[in-house]
Amino acid sequence: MQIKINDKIYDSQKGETVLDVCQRNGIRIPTLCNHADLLASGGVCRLCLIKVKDNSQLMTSCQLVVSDGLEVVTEDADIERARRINLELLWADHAGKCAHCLKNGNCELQNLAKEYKLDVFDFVPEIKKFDKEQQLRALKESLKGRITDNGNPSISRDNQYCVECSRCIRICKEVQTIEEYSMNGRSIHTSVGTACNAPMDCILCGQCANVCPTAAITEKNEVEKLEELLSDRSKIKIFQVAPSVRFTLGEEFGLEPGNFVEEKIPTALRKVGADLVFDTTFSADLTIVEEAHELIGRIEKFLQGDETVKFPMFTSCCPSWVLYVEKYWPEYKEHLSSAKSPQQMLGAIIKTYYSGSKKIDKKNIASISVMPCTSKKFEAGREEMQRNGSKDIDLVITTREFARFLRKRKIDFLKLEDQRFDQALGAYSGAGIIFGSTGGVMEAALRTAYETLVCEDLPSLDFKNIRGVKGVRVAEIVIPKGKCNVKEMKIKVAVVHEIRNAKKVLEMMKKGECDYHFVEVMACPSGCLGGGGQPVPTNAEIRRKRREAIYYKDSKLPIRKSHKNPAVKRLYEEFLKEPGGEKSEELLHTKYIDRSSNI
Amino acid sequence: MTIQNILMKYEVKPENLLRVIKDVQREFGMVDDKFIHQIAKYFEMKPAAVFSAASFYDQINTKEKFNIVVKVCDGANCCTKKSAKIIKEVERFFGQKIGDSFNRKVIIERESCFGFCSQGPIMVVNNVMYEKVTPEKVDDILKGYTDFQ
Amino acid sequence: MEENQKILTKNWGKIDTKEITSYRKIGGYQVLQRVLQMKSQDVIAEVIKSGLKGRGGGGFPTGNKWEITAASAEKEKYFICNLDESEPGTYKDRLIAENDPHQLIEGIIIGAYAVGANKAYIYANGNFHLAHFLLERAIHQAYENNLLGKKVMGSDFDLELELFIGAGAYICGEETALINSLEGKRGEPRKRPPYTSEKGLFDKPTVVNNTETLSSIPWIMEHGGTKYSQIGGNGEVGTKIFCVDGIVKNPGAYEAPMGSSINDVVYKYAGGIIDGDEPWFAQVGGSAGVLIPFGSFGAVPAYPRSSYVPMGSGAILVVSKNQDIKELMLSWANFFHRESCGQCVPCREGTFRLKNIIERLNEGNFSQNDKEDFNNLIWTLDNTTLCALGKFSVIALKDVVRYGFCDELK
Repeated sequence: MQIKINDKIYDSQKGETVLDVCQRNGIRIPTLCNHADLLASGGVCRLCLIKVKDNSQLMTSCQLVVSDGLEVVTEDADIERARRINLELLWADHAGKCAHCLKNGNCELQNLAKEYKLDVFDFVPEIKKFDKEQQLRALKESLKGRITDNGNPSISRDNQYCVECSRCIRICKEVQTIEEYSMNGRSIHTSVGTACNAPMDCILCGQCANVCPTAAITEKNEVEKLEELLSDRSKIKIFQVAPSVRFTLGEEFGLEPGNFVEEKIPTALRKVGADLVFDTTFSADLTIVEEAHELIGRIEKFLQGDETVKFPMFTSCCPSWVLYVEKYWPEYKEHLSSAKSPQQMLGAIIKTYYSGSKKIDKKNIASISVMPCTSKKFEAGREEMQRNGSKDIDLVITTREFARFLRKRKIDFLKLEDQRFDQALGAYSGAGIIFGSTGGVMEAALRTAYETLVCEDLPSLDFKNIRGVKGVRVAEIVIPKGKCNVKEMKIKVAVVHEIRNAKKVLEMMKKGECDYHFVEVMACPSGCLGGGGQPVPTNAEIRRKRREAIYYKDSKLPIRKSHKNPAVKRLYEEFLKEPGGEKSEELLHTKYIDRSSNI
Repeated sequence: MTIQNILMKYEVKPENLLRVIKDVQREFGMVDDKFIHQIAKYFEMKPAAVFSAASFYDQINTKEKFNIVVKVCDGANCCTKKSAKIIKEVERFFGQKIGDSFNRKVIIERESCFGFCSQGPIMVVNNVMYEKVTPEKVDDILKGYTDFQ
Repeated sequence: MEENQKILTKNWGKIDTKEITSYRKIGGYQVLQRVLQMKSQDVIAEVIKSGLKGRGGGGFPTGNKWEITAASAEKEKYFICNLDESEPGTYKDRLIAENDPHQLIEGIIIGAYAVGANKAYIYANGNFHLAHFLLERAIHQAYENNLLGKKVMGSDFDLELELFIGAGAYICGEETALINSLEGKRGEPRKRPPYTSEKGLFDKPTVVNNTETLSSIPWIMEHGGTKYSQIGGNGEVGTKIFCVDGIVKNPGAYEAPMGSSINDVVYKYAGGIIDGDEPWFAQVGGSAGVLIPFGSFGAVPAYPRSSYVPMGSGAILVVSKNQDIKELMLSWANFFHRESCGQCVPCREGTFRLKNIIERLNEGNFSQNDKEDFNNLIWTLDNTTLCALGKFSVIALKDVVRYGFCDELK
């Protein structure tokens, strides 16, 4: 179907909106409520207004579906005036708030204000024109209905920045099915919030912060805490960095998505005071060895006729997914692998094995992780992740906070020289690196499980049918007799991202229709590379670039199987002895809690 | 009546949600956190969805309970009959401005239109409607409520 | 045309509104019996013939509305009577429900039968306590008399009717917002299309009719569409209840033939202007209505939005020369600010800022900048909001500017 926009012909598909066509073709239309990851809003921001040719009525391009012979105009005096006034109305609410705002410089509203050259706050009379009583009233008015929420470890909210675009409501409902947010109140008191404005009680995935155009929802900013830890001279500062961060951090410094900036990260961290920079990718390999061992154990038990074995086994490295099971499906918590996440495994190893071998008192260690994830902040605070009252991970900062901190320190990130992670707990395989993408944990686990079971090399390391972005991806892996002479069998696996898809699997289980042996779940779109702490903006295209970079990196690595990682092997030889052994059970495995009464 | 009694009166159907909310409001004077969660559970909805609907309506109080709620009609008809003066009188009587909720005992609200315009100006105090109110009558009416304060 | 033809108010004060027997004694529900033996398309044809238009203010031909929904192949359909009447200055629907509840219910049953709906609701304004009581009782008695429920009056037609009471929100008078409210959601207007005739309540074809519209139906079916269409004049047919208020001798609700001018209603029905006072202008149709200067009171309210005096809800507020226009402007601005559903930016933020500006106007702090903003806001509310509320909110203010009623805005 062809439509005409500003007298030029463009191709379009049935069901598309005019806004879709414009965005694809680089025709500038401002919008605050629309987001590429979400269904259309109700057309609430009224900024994407356009006109159908020869019709004076203004219409929202996000709601106007293309039809044959449609001709639209996207710029004229009325359209400009309408966008400007509506933008000014939103902007007026933000008078004087930018300077102290976390999103300063990366705020969609601020960017639009710049684009439309709004410099004065037209609708807000200058405060000096007010008398005392009026000033007090204005103050009361602006405080009335202000809601801030810092009641959870991961996400902060402050509705004075909110523009009521409803993106957070939609992503929470449509993608994650949690429905934590709703539009509340009426008239000027309309605000986005939780039920009864209670503190948030969700899975803390942070997707709402990813889509928020302003600073109304952000990660819990702990840059100051980081500075505090770094300035503590009594402590040895040990960092770890998650696999996906090296593929996304560059975006914060102006690089295209998918740029691999691994070598700059240790340099930057050492520059700001890190004593050791370890790699979560290393412990991702460790997780795989433990998790594959657990899977094999469950399979063997099952083959021996043990009917109590819980299938499918779920991955447990995504803290939001774990929280989702604990809160909404506690009856299935035993299905979660008992293996801790890579962050927590490395945290435990640092404060036991590493501190022991170096004769450092663990009290003098500050263990800090850089994660793509808001939920990791919660995970680090879980009771099971503490030993004798001391947390294995002392502080988690997200990719965005890390970048903010580097900017604050005026570090010219892209010009830094290349350095390596500290190799003691820093070497990794390709299997660890693909943890950053949906399907990565499964693929890594299969590489190890297959070879451990069969005692032969895999014919091909690439499990292509579980890659991609389909909500639920299913594969069957044939385990041959092989050298170890196991019973021949088929393992059925599924890879899932976004909670809406995980819910489908859980509902299948409830109906007894789920015959998978192993299921990987990541709460965020495309897994950690689309995590709630990653750079914004995000959309399918950006995530595709990040994903491709990750798999490319894997394909180029000399070692691509976790159990072949020499650093992992050494750790077992020197300390852990064997996967699933006594030490491993103590340090690398955990238990889950029924949290359903909380909701 | 307990919340359970109210809930048991209604089938779990979408059109019963607002009815339950209204009943709870009538019985308890407000629909707070606890009720929202109980209603949500009964209707198998998310609490956010229940709160979102409840907080939309004027007659549902999800915030705080006041001992005295004075609603003065400010529709155009009552306005031409000097409702602005009545509002001023009420403000003077309680020593607080319309809309202020800092005192937490009394709230004065503007109301849109009760649909009794020919009897206007209309003032409603704790759900009792007063017709043809004049600024002079305000004191007498409100004196009857000061015990609630 | 007969001057005193009463259709809507003919039984007011003459029947015991608490007892169905009283309504039946004067011939109530007899026409329903006849209607139930007719084909539904014939019922619709009669209503189309009558020329009856939606009395809520939209003015959409009622018969045609029914025809569209009746034509839908969907089995499940809904029929809703809109008694949410919350336009300031308007209370005709409340009076109808209080003075003749059974005539309304009879109209609802006929309408539901015509479109093939087996479930009907009356959505009533939360403030109408007496009407709630009477309707609840009337519905109960109608069930007892087999006028509702299974096999209505021995026919093959089943109908359930429920009273649903709103909780205070002007916007719920808008049909899609009303439907959302009934479904237990926020009363926010929906995007159209789809229209309620295809996807309304619970996504099924739905008719939403105003109370006054439905109360006219029994008379039309009894006396025929042709006879109804002969009442009225100046291009509009039937009768209409006008709620007259302001500086008139006898404020109240009066049934007058359509085509009556403002003067007709004010002088023939409401007793004329209070002695010693002089009208400045009249607002016709509630707070969302236009202003008509005294000199033009000969004008006739009519349904098209483009007419000089759009009918709206049919309320007429006669405003005195002594009225402080700024106070009235604040009342309008406050009203729409309070009642904005908060969904879209221009209405949520715009009505609030407009209210602030008019507050400053009242306090004497109106600046040149405010005047510019005032005009900008009027324009953006008029042209860019999601639903019609934005447009409605500035009709009167635009007229204040147009007629130069406020010095500061000249």
